Parts: sequence; C-alpha cells; structure tokens
Amino acid sequence: MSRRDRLSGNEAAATAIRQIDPDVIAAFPITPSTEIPQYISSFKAEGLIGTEFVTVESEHSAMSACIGASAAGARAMTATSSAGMALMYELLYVAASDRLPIVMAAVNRALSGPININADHSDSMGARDSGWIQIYSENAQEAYDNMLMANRIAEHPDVMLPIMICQDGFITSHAVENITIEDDSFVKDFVGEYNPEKYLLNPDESLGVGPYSISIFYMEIKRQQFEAMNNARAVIAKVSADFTARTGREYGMLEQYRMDGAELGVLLMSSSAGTGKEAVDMLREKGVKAGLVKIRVFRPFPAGEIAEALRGLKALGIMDKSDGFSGCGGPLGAEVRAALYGKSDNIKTINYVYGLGGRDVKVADFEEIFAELAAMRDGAELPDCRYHGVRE
Amino acid sequence: MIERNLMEHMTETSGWRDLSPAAQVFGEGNSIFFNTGDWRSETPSWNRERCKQCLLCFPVCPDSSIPVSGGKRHDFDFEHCKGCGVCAKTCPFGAISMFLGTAPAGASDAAIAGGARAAAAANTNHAADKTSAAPAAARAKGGAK
Ligand code: SF4
Ligand code: SF4
Repeated sequence: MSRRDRLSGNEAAATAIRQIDPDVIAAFPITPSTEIPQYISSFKAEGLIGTEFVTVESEHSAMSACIGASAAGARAMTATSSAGMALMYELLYVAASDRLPIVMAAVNRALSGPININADHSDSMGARDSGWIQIYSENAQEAYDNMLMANRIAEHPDVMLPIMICQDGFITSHAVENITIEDDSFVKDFVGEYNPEKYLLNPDESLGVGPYSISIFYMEIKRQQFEAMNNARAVIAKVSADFTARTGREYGMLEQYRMDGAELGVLLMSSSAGTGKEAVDMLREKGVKAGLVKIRVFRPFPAGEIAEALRGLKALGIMDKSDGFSGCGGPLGAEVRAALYGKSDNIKTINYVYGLGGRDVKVADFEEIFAELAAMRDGAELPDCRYHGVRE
Repeated sequence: MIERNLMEHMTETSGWRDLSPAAQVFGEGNSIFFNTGDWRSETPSWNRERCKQCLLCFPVCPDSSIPVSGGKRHDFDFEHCKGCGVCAKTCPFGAISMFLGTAPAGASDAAIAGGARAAAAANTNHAADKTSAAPAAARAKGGAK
C-alpha cells in the first residue's frame, strides 16, 4: 500500500533512489542537491541500501565514476546542481555518446555570476545539447514519480541514454509537501532489474567501450544517437502509461491545464507551473479564457505535441527560467517558436525571461503576463522577448 | 542487434544500423585488422649482420611489430609498424636505423632517395624530435574493424 508522507523534493528523490537501490552512486555535494547524497550516505550507514557509494573529489570525477560503473554493467546514479553540473559537461557528452543509461537527480540552480544558490534553469539548459534525456518536475511528487520512471526509460534497449530528472532548487528541493510514497516492493517490481546486453565485467565476452572514432565512422554513431533519442518518445509514453495504470497519477510529454477553449496561454516548466495554474483558475473565474501548458519532457523535445496543445490560442507567453543570451530570448522560446512555425503561425508569441537566480514568481506576476497577452491579442505591439520581474 | 565477432563486417561502407552501438568493440585481439602501417612517415631497417639477437627491441615496440619465434626476432611487420623509431633508439648494437619514407628497405620507394636515407640514418633521434605530419597522412585503412 502506498502511504502519504511529508517530504521535501530532495527527500523525495533520495527516497526513490533508496527504493531503486542502484549498484553505484558517485556524487559530490553542491547546494541545493547536497541533501540527496547526504540521505544516501545515511541509508548506506543504516544498511538500507546495498549501493556502492563513491565519495569523489569533484563532479567531473562523479560523472567519470558513473560512466565507468555503467560501462562495467552497473546501475549508476548521481545528483548535482549548477556549477557541479557545469563541471560535468565534458563527461555528460561521453555518457550520452557511449550510450550509458546513468540517472541523475538534477536540482536546478543558477550559474555564476554573480554567484547565486537559488533556482533557475541555466545549468540543465546548458546541457540541453549533451544527448541526455531531460524531464522536469513541478513539485516533490513529480520529482519522486519521475525518478521511479527514469531507469526504465534510460535502460530500454531501444534507448540506452542517460537521463536527468530536474526539480527547482529550494522551491521544490527544500519545501516540504504531502506526497504519496509507493511501497518498496512496488518500486522493486515497477523498476525491475538492469541486465545490459553488453558490459565490461562480463567474463564470457570481451568488450571495448568509448573508442576513438575517425570521420568515416563518427557521423554514423551520432545518427544512432539521434535514433535513440527519438525512440525515447515511445518508451517514455509506454513507461508513463504503465505508471499511470498502477498509481493513477498521470504523466505525458507535457501537461495541458485548462486549455479547452483557451485564447491566452503560458508555456513553462517546473515549479512555476503550480503558481501559474492558480492564476489561470482565478482568471477563468473572471471569464478570462486563460490556459497553461507545462513541458515535462524537454529532451526529446515534444515539438508535435506542443504545436497540437497550443492550437487555438490567440496569444502565447513562452516563459524561460534561463537566458540563453542569444540576444533574442531563451532556449524554450526559440524551440517552441520553431515547433509552431508553419503549424500555428497565427498565434502571437512573446518570450519572457523570468525567475532568474531564484527571483520570486507570484500569482500577481502571471496576472500581469496574462493582461499583456490580452493586449497583444487585441493588437498591442509587444517586443519578441523581454525580462519579466526585473526592476527598470 | 549485432552479434559478437562480427567486427570484421563493420567497414567504412557500413550504414549506421550495421555499426556496433556507440562504436563498441566486440571481441578481443582485433587491432590486427587495423593497419597502422600506413601512418608511417619513417621506416626502420634491420641490419642482420649487426644484430646480436639480444631481443631488447621487441618488448618496446608499441605496435607488436617485431615478430619473435624460436628465441629470435624476425623482420618487421610493416603492416603495423608505424615508424615511431623506439626500437632503433633501444637497440644497443646499432642494428636498426630509420629512413625517411614509407617503404621498407629494398622496396622501391622514390621517397627513400640516397641523400635522405643518409641524413636520416645519421640521426636516429629524428623521429622522436619531430612533430610529424603523420596524422594528416593517416588514412585509417580498415578503420575500427
Ligand atoms: S619503428 Fe616503432 S612501430 Fe616500427 S617496429 Fe620499431 S618500435 Fe615498432
Ligand atoms: S635490439 Fe638490436 S641487436 Fe637486439 S635483437 Fe633487436 S635488433 Fe637485434
């Protein structure tokens, strides 16, 4: 039987990891994800997990150890944030291109400078082209549920790619919520065993992993990765449907909130979706046709589902919790507009960069944004991109 | 899925579906398929008269290109010798010299003109000192077979 318990996002992710009981965890502490390896070391000390816990001297080493463990045939996991993830960047590409299904609990935090420990998506957005599957969680429940689904997605033979399960630093990672925790036996059964087809510690079969590849082979290997990332769509759908069937909690590539008949919409990821939903409810009561789309899976990018979900909108605010410094908006803005191009060209769009470095986002912010979207629908000229919530 | 021991079927004309996932190398001992010999810009030559069969040269060859059997070394495996010159530097009896060019001594190779041969022979440090153009010339024949 599942049970209700009060857990923070970090506790939720750590609980999922305890229940999965992976073979190897290599991690280095960094705010705000520090608690995850901290809980894991307690679980280890209390004999609750059989995991080999490798206390490395840096995140570069943490990812290297995960790569070695995963290539050896182990189920390997890590947790990190911000500069820690940035220090892993080189190895993130190695993990993905070597097709190692490592699972990372990523607790999103701003990157320096100015140095800041609070939430935004700069860290994982910087890794968006590394070949990792990326799933974003709105709250502690989703952080827990997405962790439970991570291994089955990553380790599927058609996929074999690493996966990061993201949640917002502090807002989700340190806020305590009442969530549903599944039984250990349920998790064991749902996640299953990891039995890779090829692995380095197989005494019956020799294997070489991560060889040098010259120009006549490199591109074919990248083409394989493209195929695997696309295969992940069907696998995510299948694993999520199985999860829903067993728990009643629904997950898709994205979530549509009150999009029926909506004219004004916002599209965003992670914790601010909760605040946005509250604003949508209030506006709907006042007769404003407001709706919200929350992207759950950012890699692979659900371009088709996004175009489908936004059809019918008159004005859309695409909300980026990181500025990609393209000079014309954030990464979500660019990719969502590309998804709409040629499909829903009649939707007027504006790209907001918001919530950087933990800048608070309240219901009133969404009311302001929806008022701007209404003005844009009615003919007001707005810039393609602007910062929201910044002092002028 | 690709079966083990099928590495020899993976060639530079194989499509992406027919290459091993992530270019993993299945089976062992397959570097024999990779002819590093054509990386060579200099070539060792073995002087049998001077050779004392002390066997100090073969263990230092990074490409196992000095075959040994019956307690004696034999001529170089030029399919795999990449001309690094380590063996020549190691031989205490001056029985190995390095020559500019890719063809073994005795073979016709316009690049091994008398002058170049003499100049190279005078300086066995040559290979170690120079930052050679070998990578540019590398054609990786056989690739990751
Ligand atoms: S030149 Fe280098 S590769 Fe060739 S036989 Fe001598 S040591 Fe081996
Ligand atoms: S080191 Fe020189 S002398 Fe000794 S076996 Fe090799 S070639 Fe002959």
